[in-house]
Amino acid sequence: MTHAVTSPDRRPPRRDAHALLAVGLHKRYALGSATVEALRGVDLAVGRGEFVAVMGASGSGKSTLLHLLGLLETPDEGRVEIDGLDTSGLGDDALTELRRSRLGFVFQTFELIPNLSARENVLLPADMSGAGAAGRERLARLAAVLGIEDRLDHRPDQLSGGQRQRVALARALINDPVVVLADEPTGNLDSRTGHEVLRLLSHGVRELGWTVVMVTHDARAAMQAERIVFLRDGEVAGTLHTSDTDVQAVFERALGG
Amino acid sequence: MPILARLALRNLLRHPWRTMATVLGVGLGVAAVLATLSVGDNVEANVRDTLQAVSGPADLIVTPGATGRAVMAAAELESTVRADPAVVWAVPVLNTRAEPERDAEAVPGSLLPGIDSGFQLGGRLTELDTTLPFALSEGRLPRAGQREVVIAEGFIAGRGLNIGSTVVFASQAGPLPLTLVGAMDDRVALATTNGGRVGVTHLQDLQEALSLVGRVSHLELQLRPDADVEVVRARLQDAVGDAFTVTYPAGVGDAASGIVQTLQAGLLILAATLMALGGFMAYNTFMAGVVERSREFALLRTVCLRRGDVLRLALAEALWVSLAGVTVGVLLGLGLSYGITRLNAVVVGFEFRTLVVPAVPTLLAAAVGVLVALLAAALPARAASRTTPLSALRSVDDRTPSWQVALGWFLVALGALATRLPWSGMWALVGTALAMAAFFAGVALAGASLIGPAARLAQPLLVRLLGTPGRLSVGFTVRNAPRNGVAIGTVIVGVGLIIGVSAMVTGLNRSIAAWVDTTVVGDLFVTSPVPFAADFATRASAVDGVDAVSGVGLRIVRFEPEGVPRGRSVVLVLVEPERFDPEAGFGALQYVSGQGDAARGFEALSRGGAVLAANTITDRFGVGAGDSARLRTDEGFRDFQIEGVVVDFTSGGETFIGSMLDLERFGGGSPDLFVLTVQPGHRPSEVREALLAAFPDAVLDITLNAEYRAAILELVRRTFTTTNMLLMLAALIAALGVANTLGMNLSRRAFEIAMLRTLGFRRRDVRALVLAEGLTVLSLGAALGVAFGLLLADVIVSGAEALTGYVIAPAIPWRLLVAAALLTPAIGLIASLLPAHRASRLAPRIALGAAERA
Repeated sequence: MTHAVTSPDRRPPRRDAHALLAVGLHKRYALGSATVEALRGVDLAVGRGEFVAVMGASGSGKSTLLHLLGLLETPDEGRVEIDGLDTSGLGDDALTELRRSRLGFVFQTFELIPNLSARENVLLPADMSGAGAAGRERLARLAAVLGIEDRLDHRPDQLSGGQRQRVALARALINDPVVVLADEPTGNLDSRTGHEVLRLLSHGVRELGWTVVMVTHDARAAMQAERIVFLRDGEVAGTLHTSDTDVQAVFERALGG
Repeated sequence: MPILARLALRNLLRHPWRTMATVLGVGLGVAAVLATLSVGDNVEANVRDTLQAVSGPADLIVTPGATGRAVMAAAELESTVRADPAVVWAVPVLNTRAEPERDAEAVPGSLLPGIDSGFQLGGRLTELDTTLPFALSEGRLPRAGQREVVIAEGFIAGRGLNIGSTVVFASQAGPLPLTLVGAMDDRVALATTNGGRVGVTHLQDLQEALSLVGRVSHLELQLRPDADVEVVRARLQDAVGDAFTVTYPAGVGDAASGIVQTLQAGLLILAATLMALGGFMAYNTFMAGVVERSREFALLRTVCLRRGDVLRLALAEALWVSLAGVTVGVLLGLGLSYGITRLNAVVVGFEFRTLVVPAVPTLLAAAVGVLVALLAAALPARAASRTTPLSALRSVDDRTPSWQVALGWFLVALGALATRLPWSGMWALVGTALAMAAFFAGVALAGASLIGPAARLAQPLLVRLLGTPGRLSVGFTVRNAPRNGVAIGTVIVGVGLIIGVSAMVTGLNRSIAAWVDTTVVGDLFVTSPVPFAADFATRASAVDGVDAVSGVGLRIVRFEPEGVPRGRSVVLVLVEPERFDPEAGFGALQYVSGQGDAARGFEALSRGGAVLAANTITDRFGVGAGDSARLRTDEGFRDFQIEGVVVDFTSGGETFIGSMLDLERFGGGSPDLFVLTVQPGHRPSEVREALLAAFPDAVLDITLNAEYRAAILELVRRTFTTTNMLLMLAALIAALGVANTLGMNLSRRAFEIAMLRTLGFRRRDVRALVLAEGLTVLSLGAALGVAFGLLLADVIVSGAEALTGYVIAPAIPWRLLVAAALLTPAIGLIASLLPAHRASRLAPRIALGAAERA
């Protein structure tokens, strides 16, 4: 079920819709004189409160999929629905507002604004969407959950990698998004810190109802999700529920086994 | 503070040195504009202050029709003005030049004839103490019939005079002994004028001593407080008739306006260019900042900012920079204005008394600063807003698209073409601006295709000098081409401007030197701080070795050209016709082609009632040979036929040359200057001694031809000091631009430099790497700048001719060219030092994690 809106960030959440729905996504790139088909008809549905990992070898199309799901690029064919809203044909400003209000982003390299404090970094999307007061209330709760209450007045270069990623996670969640898109969130962290971040993500999904789509190379990280979608050559090559498998099987599947 | 404004401010504070350099670039431009725009106000304020101080509490003064040293009968005039109900009092004043017990020391010269530098002795009705424009610090006022005087206290101290002693004044009527009875407070009104060389005696005593009983220089009037001064002035003017002028005390000072207008006009184009240069630099910084922070903009676009938000963010940064730049610029501008006004005080010959901050020029300069910064930021801001969210996840390439390079070369060609077109009049300014803008933009865009070959050309030398860092610097320079292109553009505009303006200044200097050679003919020039005796010429002719003696009168008169409602005060130089006899005279004038000749000029001067106009008069007021000039004489306005147009550089060029036969029409009196020639076989210096011996009671200043020429050229040199100050600012802005660019290149390549450090580059190797890049950029900029400057010279000269009214032939400033070739790389080295030092301090560990990425 889809519908069009003009002000996507003003619309109340649709409890009956998928948090995220991708239907028949195709994406092609020109590479010199050749054309590379990065995605070939990918379908993906992510329910509310679900934690989905996307795995695949280099060049399998997972980054492209994340760009399309994050509304950073538009598909050549197919459509992306966020919270039941078909994003096809939306203009740049509408897409930005949708990203700001309905999506949260977590990057491998944290990507905090270096000259803002942790608090200001987290509150930036809330301030920009005019929800500063609500954002401040939410910040207090998120800071407690993420364990960064005493680091909020520090600048990014005064924080450890794990603390920076938790601040980035708080920023992703400050506007109460429908989906958090995480691109290798543990890629720049040591294993202990990475594990802590993953634990936080899965805790948020289980206890607080967050919805997370995570792209990762790491089979152990993927095991924190409920479901793993494997991509190969731009297509969905299969799905595993983590409750039915183990790390070794995921590892082998990711390698193309 | 809104989040975007806060974010913009933080971004700027993140790079304090870069921000400071940009702020300084904008600030220097604002300062130049403000200083130039406020010169006129400051000169006017100072001249007005001086004249107001001389007149004290008077609201109006009544002077003879033509100002100068003319005197007038007071009795009838006094009764006429006192009959007006608005006049509270009217007091007569007689001023004369006199000199108390002076050794023959030189009196400071003045470019403006008529603004006197001798000692001023005033005769006043001292019993009417409320009308006096001074206060006593010691002693008492002079009394009538006692032959007493009060003198400014500083002068008394300087000459070692004592109250009670007799001071002998050399006057036009011979020695005048007066008893010193008081000292005037140096801080008050009259005593603050004329460098404190002022004294006051009783009017009656002075009139008797000078045989001028019943005659005065002017009347001072005070009006009722509720009177409308302008209405009363007009009413009194009607009552006294055309033979007199009723004016404001400061009104007689507007003769300085011609000179100031010339100075100001010449500087304006320079100031505007400096502002543009500051703008280019700001553009460079903003654009490089956008490239450098593309990842950050992309991230902001991903998580929360719309295109419009990014645009506003970038413009907010520009606004902060412009606000800071305007603040710095206004402060610097006031300092510069102070310097220029003081300089003009020396050149024009007024006293520096005050510094005014005129509201309109200040607001205008501030607005220009903000506008330029915002304009400079407009393109970069647009580029920032077009950053796609996806570029946060991809690397950014600095490569310039080929269409931009092609466009760049087209613009370079357009800029070069613009310098060759025959711009005329004020359009030359448009041509100058167009040429500079096109050349700058062209080089900035085509920089990549210029830098590659230049860097490869420099490579052997750099490798020989610096080794491996020299070789690597070529790659760095090429890869930083987009930013370096803008830096080279800034250097080209800076160097080009310096060369172009210098060519104009050199040409003007040569024109003035040629004019001096042609017109300043004569072996001795005799002036005096007191009026010459009536028989001076006859007695001087009799001195051994003297050949010809020719008098010159200098008057400031009112000129009423068509379309200029209140007219202008111009300089009238009255000459003896015989001097310009084409057959027998020793003088010469440079006639403008088609505007009269020596024979016609001589005939006109011999006839009287006609004038020759300076070429500036022709250019500014559109009158030439065959027209008439309406000048105010003692009998009111009268038309003088213009019989020729001559080159003249005195008094801002607003000069007429008339015949000494007309002296009586312009106040009468004696000449102000005598030009003497020496008979063959006599040395001028010996004749000078003979003259001084022949006139033991007169106070003569006798200058040899060479000294006189040197004095004129020295005044010209001083006049261009202001221009040179602004050119130095241009060099400073260009250097700042280069330092800024290298700093930004460094930020962009920090990772690579750190990697080189990790691989074994020493700090000094890194320094050499950055210095080599700076040298390449500067040298290329300097070479192109010199070429561009030579192209630009013609169009700048056309603009300067249109603005100043002078005829100038551009000349190649060879010495400056050599200096530019040698100094620019040196400036480049200095400009590169800070970035090089910063680069050498980069820690190798940065290579293990991108520093800018948090």
